[in-house]
Amino acid sequence: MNRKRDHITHALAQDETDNDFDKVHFVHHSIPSIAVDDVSLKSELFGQVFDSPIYINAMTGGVDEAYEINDKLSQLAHHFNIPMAVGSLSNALKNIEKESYHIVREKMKDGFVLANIGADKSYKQAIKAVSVLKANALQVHVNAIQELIMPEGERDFTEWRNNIHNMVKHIDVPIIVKEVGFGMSQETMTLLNKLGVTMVDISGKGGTNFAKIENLRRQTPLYYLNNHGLSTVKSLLEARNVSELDVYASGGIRHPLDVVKALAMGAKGVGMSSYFLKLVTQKTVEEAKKTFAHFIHEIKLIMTALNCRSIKELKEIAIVFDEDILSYMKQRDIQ
Amino acid sequence: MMNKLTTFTAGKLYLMGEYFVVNGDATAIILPLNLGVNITVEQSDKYTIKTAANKSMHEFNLTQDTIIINNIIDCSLRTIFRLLKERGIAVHPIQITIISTLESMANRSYGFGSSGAVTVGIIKTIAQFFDVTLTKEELYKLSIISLQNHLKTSSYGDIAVSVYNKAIQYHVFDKEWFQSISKKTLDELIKLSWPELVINPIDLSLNHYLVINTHKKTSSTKMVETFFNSTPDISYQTNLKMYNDLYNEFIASRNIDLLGVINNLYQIMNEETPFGYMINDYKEIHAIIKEHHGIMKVSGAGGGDNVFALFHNEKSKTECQYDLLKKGYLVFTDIIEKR
Repeated sequence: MNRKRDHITHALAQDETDNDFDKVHFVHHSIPSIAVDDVSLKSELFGQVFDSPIYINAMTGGVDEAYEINDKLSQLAHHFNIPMAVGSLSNALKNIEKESYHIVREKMKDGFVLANIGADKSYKQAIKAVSVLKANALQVHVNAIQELIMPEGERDFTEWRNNIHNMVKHIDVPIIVKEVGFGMSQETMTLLNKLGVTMVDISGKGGTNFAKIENLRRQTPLYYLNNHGLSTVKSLLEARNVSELDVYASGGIRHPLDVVKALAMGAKGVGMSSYFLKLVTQKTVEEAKKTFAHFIHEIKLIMTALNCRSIKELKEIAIVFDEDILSYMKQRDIQ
Repeated sequence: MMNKLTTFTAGKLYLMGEYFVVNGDATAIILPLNLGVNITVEQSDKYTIKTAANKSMHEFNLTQDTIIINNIIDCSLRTIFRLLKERGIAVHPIQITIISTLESMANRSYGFGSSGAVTVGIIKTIAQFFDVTLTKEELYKLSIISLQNHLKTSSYGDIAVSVYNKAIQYHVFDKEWFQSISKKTLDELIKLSWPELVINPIDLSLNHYLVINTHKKTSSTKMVETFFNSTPDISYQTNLKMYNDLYNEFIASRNIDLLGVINNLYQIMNEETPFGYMINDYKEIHAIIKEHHGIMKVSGAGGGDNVFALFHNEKSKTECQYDLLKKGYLVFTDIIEKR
């Protein structure tokens, strides 16, 4: 359980400076023709319609500190009617009474909750994870790099594909396969699609860095893996070559402009974890509500500047990339 | 005095009625159908009964111990005539006609609770014909007394929904208590408060649903016996707790997606037992429903008969219905009584 505690501590301490969203630009046009009030952020996430495209992404559970965090997060999620994903329930399955998870469903009432479990788990364990949380959807995290760096981590991945396929086949709530900060290639997404997956959260590099976190826990760090993986921007570009998937973006979303960029690049929704984690650990729930309300409002301000009334219109506008992103696209045959 | 009386008694579908509702480990949700049994009682010069299955008129004599048509009808008649006798009500010969829409024309059972509806229907109609007033709960209890041979393997939820003709939450009475009560008159028995019995009418309407008949019927008696003869392990208790939590959440939210989760959980509970109590035929149906973004919920315990397919919109429902029909499944629409 110390591992979970370490994750919270290290995630709060991390402050990544390099972010590919800074290499993505909108073209400025001087005279918009809409008002801020014309902008609608209505979005379909995981098969349901919400007022905003944002969801609280998988974070934590299973330790005492997590109770208060999940309590505050679920109050925020309930207030703004946004989906909330909990941290991995793998440990909770050993003790289904764990309060830190139950508080989420309790506070969310009829809100949209996503359970979370690793791809190393069987579909039966996944069903129990969904059941224990009375979840509306299931995130299946794929965290091979994290496991490999983790001293006590998984070393055998031979069942992961089978497990994912069986989860898709047997489980009736929407299933979202989610990276944990290392991004997804088009090959991964195509493979997942063949396994029956229709939704992915690409969770790219740029946010909470689990390679660094696990390296801090190692006596002999594999420091050269600290920058391994694809950024959220590159993962979104990779997704352009896989048309059959609903792609959700997370990883290194710092501010409203990153949200708008991710949506413009094709993301159906945007997940944030460290933003919300910092929000609820540094502020009261009431303060956090005000701050996040501003965040939503700022998305509307940006969309007004871009003359986009809806997220659908946002996906039609021109985007300009820095040279190194263009070079990446060329090498990966991405248009 | 009445010359002729016709009543309707609804059949049932369990929306939630897994094996553990039989022993009271869980509460069922049962829905009434707009299909059922019409029973007509009219004055006659002799006691006769006619059903669709036995087209000719059968004469019966309640003082003899012989089976009239079948055990269900026989027990129902004996129970209601015993009550009339105990209350000192004068009876005269009647002709009873039973017409059921709960089976096919070829008399094939669909698992829509025909036995329960016939039991309730016979007792209710004859009581009304002879001006005997019974409360709903008394009618339920008389029907149970009539069917007490099924005590070990039935939850009697079909009886409850046939009596109330509304969607109900149902918890079976304490069967051990029932077996322990010493002989009393029927009136004494039905006036008693039966421990643990809960019948709560609820507002529950399913909007976009299909009922798919699997063409399979296993012996539920045998399945229930197998289920209860197996030793429950820790995993069973944990799963049962999750099942009951999900049930409560469904009652609070009416979110049909939860029924899919419950179905998934029940499926793995089935797989975690040394014997399988759910039939394999669900797999194909499940795949078809899933393809249309629907939710599958086995009706009842999973030994056969019927499956619910629930959708968030009419379009998905219709498309799924088409695919199921193409595969040769019998699909019912709009059979749940709307209340």
